[in-house]
Amino acid sequence: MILELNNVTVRFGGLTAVDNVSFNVEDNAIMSLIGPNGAGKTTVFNLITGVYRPTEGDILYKGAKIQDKKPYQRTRMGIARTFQNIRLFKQLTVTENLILAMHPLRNINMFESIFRLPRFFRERKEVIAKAESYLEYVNLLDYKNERAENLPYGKQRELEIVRAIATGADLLLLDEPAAGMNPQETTQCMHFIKRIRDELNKTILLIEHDMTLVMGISDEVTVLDYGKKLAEGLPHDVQNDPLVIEAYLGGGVAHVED
Amino acid sequence: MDLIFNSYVLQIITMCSINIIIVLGLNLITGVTGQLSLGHAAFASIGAYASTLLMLNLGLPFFLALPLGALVAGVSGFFLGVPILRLRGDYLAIATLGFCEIVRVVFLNLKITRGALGISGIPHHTTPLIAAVLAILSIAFMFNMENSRFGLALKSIREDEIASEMMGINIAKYKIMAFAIGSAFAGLGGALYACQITFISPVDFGFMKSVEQLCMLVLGGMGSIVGVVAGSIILTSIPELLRFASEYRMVMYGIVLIMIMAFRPQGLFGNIKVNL
Ligand SMILES: Nc1ncnc2c1ncn2[C@@H]1O[C@H](COP(=O)(O)OP(=O)(O)O)[C@@H](O)[C@H]1O
Ligand SMILES: [Mg+2]
Repeated sequence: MILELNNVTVRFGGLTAVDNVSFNVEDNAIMSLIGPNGAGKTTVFNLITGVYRPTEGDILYKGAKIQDKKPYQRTRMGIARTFQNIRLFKQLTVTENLILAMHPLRNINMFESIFRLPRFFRERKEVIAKAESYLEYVNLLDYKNERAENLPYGKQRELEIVRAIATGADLLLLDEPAAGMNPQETTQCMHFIKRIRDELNKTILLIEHDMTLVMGISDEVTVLDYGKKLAEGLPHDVQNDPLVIEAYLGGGVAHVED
Repeated sequence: MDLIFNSYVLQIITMCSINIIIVLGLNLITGVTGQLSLGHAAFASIGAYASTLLMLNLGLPFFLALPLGALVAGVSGFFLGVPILRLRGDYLAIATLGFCEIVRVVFLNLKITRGALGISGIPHHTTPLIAAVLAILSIAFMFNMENSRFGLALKSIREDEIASEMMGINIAKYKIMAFAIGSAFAGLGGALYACQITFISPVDFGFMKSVEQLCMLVLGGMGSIVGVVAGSIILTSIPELLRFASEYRMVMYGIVLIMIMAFRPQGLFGNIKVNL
C-alpha cells in the first residue's frame, strides 16, 4: 500500500469539498479517480500533495502520516503530480524544466557554482545528460532547448508528466492528462501512462474524464460525487453501478463501450 | 577645462557603477525571483548608514566598513523577507514600500544618524576604479549565481510558485535568500554612494529612489543582467548630462517608462515577462 486516505475531510468555509473520503492505492497500480466536475477530485490531489491540509483524517504515504509535511517535503518523499491546467516553467527551456525536477537530488553548492570550480562543470554535465535521457525516453529530445511555452499542447502535457517522473517520485498524480486531446492523442496518452507504470515501476493515481482511457488502463476506480466517495472497485463494476450511472446524469458512463 | 570634464565623466562612471550594483540586487529579487519590491532604496540606505557609522564612530577602515554595510543590509533583507514572504503582487509591493518608509523615518528620528540634518564629512573613499571593479565583480557574481542550481530555482519561483514547490524546492527559504542577497547588493551600493557623495540624509533614500531603481530595471529589461547595466547607465547618465533640466527628471522617467511599456514591455534587453 503506497497511499492511504483515512476519513479525509476538507472544508472551505461552508463548503465540504472532500467529505470523509477513504481509499487506498496499491503499489505499482493505476488507480483512477473519477466523478463529475466539482466533485472534489483535484482537491484530493491538493490534499495529497500538501497544497491544502485536511480538516479531518489522515493521509499516509508508505505507511507514514504526511498531512503535516510541507508540499516540497512530500515531493522529496516521492510524491509528484501534474496539474489540470498545465503548470510548466513556461519561459524556461524544456531541459531546465527537467533539471528543476531534479533539484533536491543535485549535489552542488553555491560556492562551487559561483566560483565555477571543476565540480560545477562536472555536475552540470551530469545533470544535463540525465535530463536529456528523460527527454529521449519520451521523444522530446528535439525540443530540449525550446522554451516550454513554445511546445505544442500535447507535448506540454508529456513534458509535465516526465518532469514529475524526473523528481524520482514513486507515486505520480496525474490530473486530467488527456484533457483537450483528440481520440487519437488520448489513445497515445493511455499507452504512455501504461508504459510509465510498466517500465519505470511507478504507481499512478489518475483523474480523467475520458472513460475509454479510464476503463482501458485502470486497475481500480474510485468515484467521487459532491465530495463523497460514491463507489470503488474494478472498472467494469464501477461502470455498471447504478449509483454511478445516476451521478453521471442519465448514464453517460454506461454508454461508453469497454 | 579638460580636467574638469574628465572628473565630471569619472563621477558619472562612479555613479553608474554604484547604480549597477544596486539594481543588480533588485533584479535578483524582482527580475529573477519575481517578487516586486518597492523598498529597495531602504536597503541602500541601511548599507550607507551602517558603513558610515562604522567608519565615523568606530573608526573602521573603508575596506571593512564597505562589506559590513552590505552585510547589515543583507541581514535586514533577511528579516524583512521572513514576514512578507507569503505576500504577492500588490500586497508585497505595499509591504516593501511601507518598509522603505519605516526605515526612512527611523533614520530621520535617530540621534546617531543626526536626523534630517544627515551625516556630512564622510571620507571620500569611493574612486571610479573601486566602483567600476566592484560593479564588474558584482556582474560576474550575479551571472554565475543566476546560472547555478540556486538561480534556476529562483527562476522557477518566478515562473510558477506552486509548480516550483512541487519540484521539492523550499520556496520560502529561497525567497528569503533572494531578498537577503539582493538587499546586500543594495547595501554595498549604498555604502559606496556614501563614500562618494560624502553626505547622506534620509531624503536621499526615499520611495522615489526605489522607483528610480525599478525604472532602471524595467528600462533595461527584468531578468537581464545586460539590461541592468544598460538601464542603470542610461537613467544615471542622462539626468547628469542634462543637469540644466534637472527639474524635469521625473517627467523624463515617466516618458521613458510609458514608451517602454508601449513599445517594448520586456525592456531594452529583456526577453521574459514577469507577472508580478
Ligand atoms: N481553495 C478553495 N476554496 C474554496 N473552494 C474550493 C477551493 N478549492 C476547491 N474548491 C471547491 O471545491 C469543490 C471541488 O473542486 P475540485 O476539487 O476542483 O473539483 P474537481 O477537480 O472534481 O472538478 C468545488 O466546488 C470548488 O469550487
Ligand atoms: Mg479538477
